[in-house]
Amino acid sequence: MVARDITIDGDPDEVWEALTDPELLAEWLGDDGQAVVEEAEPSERLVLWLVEDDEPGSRVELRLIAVPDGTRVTVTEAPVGPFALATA
Amino acid sequence: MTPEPDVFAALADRTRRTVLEEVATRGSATATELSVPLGITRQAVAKHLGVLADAGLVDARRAGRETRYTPTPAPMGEAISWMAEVGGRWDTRLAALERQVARRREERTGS
Repeated sequence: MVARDITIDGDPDEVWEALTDPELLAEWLGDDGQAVVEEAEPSERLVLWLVEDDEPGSRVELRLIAVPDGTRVTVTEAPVGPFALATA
Repeated sequence: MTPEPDVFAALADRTRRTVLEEVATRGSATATELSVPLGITRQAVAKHLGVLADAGLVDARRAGRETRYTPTPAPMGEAISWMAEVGGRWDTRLAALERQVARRREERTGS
């Protein structure tokens, strides 16, 4: 599993708006990538499946948490299969 | 490139990571040899070694009545490069998200 985080200057609503902007998603995924939204809780949580042509894909979970400096965005990505279950 | 999910499942268990570390340190080991230093039963060690073998992290070879295991670094390397590649991609994506938030803020304040 891969985990990353960043603290962004802006409240969770602002970050959520930017996050769900089609322009950003296009930049994130490039030409071949596709994303399927599994769960979306506005300003809190976004769960995506990333799919590439011949790859089994992976599950991405983004969480937004309000902090004094703005919004902490955490992301985890894990390949599909037993690993997702093992860490659920 | 996506590594075998089994590799992550195999490494998700703390004891199993210790078993793998011990096999790697010794170069090769049997369940009996690891039982005492790890303080767990031979059966438990054997079970962990079986999972590690299924994930391709160790190679199993019969040696008389016992099975001897040797580490195989390849799938581990694959898992590490996947993590490096995907991690790098998220560093870029999160930076893009931050720019997007800043851009929207500027637009709103009209500066």
